[in-house]
Amino acid sequence: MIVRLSRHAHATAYLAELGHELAVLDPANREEILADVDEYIESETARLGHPPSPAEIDVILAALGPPHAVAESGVALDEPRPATGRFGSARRAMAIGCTIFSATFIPALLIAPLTSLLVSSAAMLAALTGAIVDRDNRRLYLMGAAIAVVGLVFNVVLWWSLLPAETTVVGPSVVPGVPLDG
Amino acid sequence: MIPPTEAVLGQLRRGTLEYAILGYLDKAPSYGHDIAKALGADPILFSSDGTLYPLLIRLRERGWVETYLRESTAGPARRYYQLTDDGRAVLNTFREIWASYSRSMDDYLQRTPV
Repeated sequence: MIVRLSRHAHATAYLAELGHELAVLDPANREEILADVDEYIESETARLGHPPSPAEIDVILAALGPPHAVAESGVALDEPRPATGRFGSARRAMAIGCTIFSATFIPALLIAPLTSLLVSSAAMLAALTGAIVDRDNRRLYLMGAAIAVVGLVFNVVLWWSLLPAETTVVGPSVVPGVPLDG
Repeated sequence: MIPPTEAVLGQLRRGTLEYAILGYLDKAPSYGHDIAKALGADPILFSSDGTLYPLLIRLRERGWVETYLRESTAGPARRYYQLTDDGRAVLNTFREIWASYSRSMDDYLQRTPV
């Protein structure tokens, strides 16, 4: 772990301890928090208008709060994110719809085997795209992809079984010396 | 044992502090130190300025705020935070709910015998 250095010894020690407390976080998030806290310390020292004494640095660090308290509010960052936002519930509905669509290869068989194959192929494409684009609902999309795979395998087996065992060519037989129309 | 005041405040802050941050950013984009000083001026809202920064990341990951760097005359470039459309929608929803919720709590707390 890279230790963040400050121009002030007490601040360097504080940032080191905070970095240790934040070790469980995603590295990018940890570095962002450390950079922002460093910027806070620099802003506060700049407001003093003179080089800060160690005691003044300690006052600034006390206002920040103990590193473990700062880290505790950061640990919750790694919790699964809810699908919130203006389109949150709509995105979830789309994921559920895609999963249900994957399963329609069964009733599509009643229309025609080709329809079922097309449904499974389309469902597979939609589910994989959704799994890539929508991280919050990835699990639902992967479930839909799995159902689509079942549908594709089912269709392949069905089409394979529909192929005749022997292939017979029907056409005019050609006999040497006999005209075709005779 | 955690003092009752801190325990109660801690619970309330955990549920509402993010919306206070959104409310502050609704006025204008701002950077971490400025937000910390503004909200920290009220000790009821903030117990320590440092707890702001993980909350800002959470808001960014939810898509409620976005960040950009702006050059500063006082030192290195500062990271500014501003509300997104989603963040503004969530804030407006919270404002509506908070009005009803706080009214209901006030009514109930006044009715409950001490």
